[in-house]
Amino acid sequence: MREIEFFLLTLVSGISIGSVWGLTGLAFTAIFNASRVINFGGGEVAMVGAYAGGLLVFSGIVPIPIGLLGVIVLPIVSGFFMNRVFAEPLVKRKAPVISSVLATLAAALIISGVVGLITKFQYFKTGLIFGTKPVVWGPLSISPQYIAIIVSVVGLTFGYWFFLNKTHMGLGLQAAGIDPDMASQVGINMVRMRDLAWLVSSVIGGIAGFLAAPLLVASAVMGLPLVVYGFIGAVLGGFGYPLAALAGGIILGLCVQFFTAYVSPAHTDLLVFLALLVVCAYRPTGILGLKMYE
Amino acid sequence: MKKTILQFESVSKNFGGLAALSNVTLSVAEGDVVSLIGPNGAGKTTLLNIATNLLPLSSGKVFFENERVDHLPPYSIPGRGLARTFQILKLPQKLSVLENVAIGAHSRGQCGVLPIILRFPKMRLEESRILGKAKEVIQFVGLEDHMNTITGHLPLGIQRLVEMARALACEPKLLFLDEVTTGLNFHEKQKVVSVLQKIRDQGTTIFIVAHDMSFVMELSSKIYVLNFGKKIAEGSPEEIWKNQEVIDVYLGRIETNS
Amino acid sequence: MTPVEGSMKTGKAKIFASSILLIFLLILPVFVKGNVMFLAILGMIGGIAALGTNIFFGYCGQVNFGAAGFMAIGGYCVALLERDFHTPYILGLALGIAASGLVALLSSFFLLRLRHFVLGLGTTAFGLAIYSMFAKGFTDYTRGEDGVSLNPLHLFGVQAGDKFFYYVVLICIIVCIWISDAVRNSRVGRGMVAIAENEVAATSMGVDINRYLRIALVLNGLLDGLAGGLLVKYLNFCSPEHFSLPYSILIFIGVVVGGAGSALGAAVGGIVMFTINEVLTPLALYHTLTYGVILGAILLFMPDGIVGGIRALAHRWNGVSRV
Repeated sequence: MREIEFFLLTLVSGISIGSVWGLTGLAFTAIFNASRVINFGGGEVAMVGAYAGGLLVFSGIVPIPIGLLGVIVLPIVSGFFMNRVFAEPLVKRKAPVISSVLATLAAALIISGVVGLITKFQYFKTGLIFGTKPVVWGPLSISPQYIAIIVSVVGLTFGYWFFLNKTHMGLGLQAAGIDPDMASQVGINMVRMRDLAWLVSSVIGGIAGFLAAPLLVASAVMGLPLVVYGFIGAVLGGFGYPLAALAGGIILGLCVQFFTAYVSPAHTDLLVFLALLVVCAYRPTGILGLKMYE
Repeated sequence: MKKTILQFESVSKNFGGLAALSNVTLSVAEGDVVSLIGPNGAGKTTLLNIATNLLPLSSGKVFFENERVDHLPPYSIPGRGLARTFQILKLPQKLSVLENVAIGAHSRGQCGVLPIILRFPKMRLEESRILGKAKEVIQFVGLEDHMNTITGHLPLGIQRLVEMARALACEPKLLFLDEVTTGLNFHEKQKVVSVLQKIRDQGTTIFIVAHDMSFVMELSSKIYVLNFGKKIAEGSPEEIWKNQEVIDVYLGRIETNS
Repeated sequence: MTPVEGSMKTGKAKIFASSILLIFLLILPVFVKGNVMFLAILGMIGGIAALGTNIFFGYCGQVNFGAAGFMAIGGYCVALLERDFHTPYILGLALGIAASGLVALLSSFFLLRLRHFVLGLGTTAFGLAIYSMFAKGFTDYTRGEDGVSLNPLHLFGVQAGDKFFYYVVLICIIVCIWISDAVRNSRVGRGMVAIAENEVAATSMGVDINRYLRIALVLNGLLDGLAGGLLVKYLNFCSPEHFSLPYSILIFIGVVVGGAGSALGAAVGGIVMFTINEVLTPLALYHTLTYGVILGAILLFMPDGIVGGIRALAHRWNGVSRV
């Protein structure tokens, strides 16, 4: 493979994996803004989406539209379970935030455990939804999956932005995030808002997982790394802002891919840590320089 | 002639385009009770935050006991003899009253971590001294009954007294009180006033930031009035009471259309 | 399970209960089998690690998801020094503890620019970096995932057995509890707790926040380094597996569910969590699920942590109803 091809491939794969992380980050930023809970289960909904995709869409057991419906519905169900059983009771109880966060971890472990039991924790290779024929564009020859990811990410981001800013529910969600007490005073049902945040987050996460499955190796334990990287990306971009989370994730993805490709795969985690430290030390509001959420 | 213990020289503070304080000069004599009043948003709390170095000033100088203090880190302020209370209570709610007041005496101790871990006698001595001081202060403000109660269980009026006790435990030469009677009922206010009188009689200088005119008139020997970040009046309570500009600022002027 | 619960409630009941517990622990080795010994020792090592993290989280309120990284430093120090320099265990352990504390000190200059949950992320990254450094980087030296073997501990020519290790670890955990309590009931401890509740208030009371957080992180490093050093010598094996992110989270969970803010609570929590984790290991596929269920149950039904739950039970037994 020639130099330029390698570079472009690294670039595209960086953007793609970065988008998956960014979407995960965006997803839990939504939940964080609504309830100050950091959702450890964000990766799990992606995993459910990935498995739903693999089992329902690729295997051809059900017609594709039904399969796609499953990709959306199953993560929502998982998210609902995590929220209602674990997060919500603690938020209602006004328990310290750390308890709610650990509760989402417990929920994530349960979902991961259930899926792991069923699949015996084996890896799961899904087919490529758009076929294996690479799309050729100049020096670039990439799998259509990458294009699908990028297009979907753009679409999802736009949809999310639209939802937040142009719909009644979305604005209510923003209000709930900015000042929960005030929001409930003006008649916004906080419980429903949190449900909504979890719902949106689950949909985004599930689709992210579905798209990423052919690229990442899907397994019952793929959730936690996704959440960690998504979180790091969110902080890099500027915590509290969903679009910053997405941007941060993409930047992180690019850094990781380029480092792995051109420098040394073994030391990637170290790089990520150092990058995070440097950003946090010298630009705590994130690379984009937005005002940090308190 | 009384010594000046606190001196603000042409202090200004800007937040972006907003001038929170403009050229404020004031001085506090040792042993006095001085009040700072003014409408909401006049800059009183900003001035207090600057005096305790929680906010850096934009220009001007602050002197405590004739030494320049405005560039020091905030945690060194109590060690110099300046203590403050907060308008919105910042008392750790889950600690007992005794522990909270003992934190106030924090700056009066010196033991490092190693002596603490190894429980040197020096540390035990210091610890019992700190706790003793805390108990003494709690008795001074009249809260012995609540010594081991969890702070969060107490009503606001009592918590205000705990906050004051906490500030007193630092053995301050100058005590800043920020809206210490806001939200209290008459009975609670009387309690606070009597404690303040005791503090004043001890010789501690008190600097009160307040809204409540009657409370301020009762205690102060000198009053400063702030409006929109500028000092508009200073003087004894009688002088301020009669000052037209102050009255206008507080009560507003009735435009008569004749 | 809040980070700020004063441990000044030294009532007679607490001393009584602690004494009973101590006696129980002292005579335990006499009448139990090897498996239980293994669990007890591993549990107590987890308890020591939890005590370290308790100072940073339980007292200062700062989240630490990278504690296993400190354990790794202590453990690998002992292992590598023994392998390459035949360092006697005591010396190796001391150096491991010191190294861990040093790493804590150095990383504090960066990590402490963060607070609360962002700090949680920073510590996560820290733990991951240390893990990957030992697991994937420098593998020529550290032998990565294959791990480093250690010789069993020998005392005066005799190989030390489980029972000996049990008492060593027991003494260590008691000492660590003693240290933690000493810190908590001093002006430094009060300052730390003030930082957890409200930094502005703490500063205005004269607390140098950065200094105290640094001290807390270093103590965290020292205690967790000890835990790591003990672990590798007991297992006679040092591999990255025991120092991975799940273990960091395990330690943290131990602090939280034990009853954060009290040294004894953290120790109990650490012991319980590590023991549960080991007990569940043979369950293989069911491990993750069961773990999640147990964790969830503790969080949902024991809001004051394990120690708080026991305390509530004791009070109900005595007929006292306390908030």
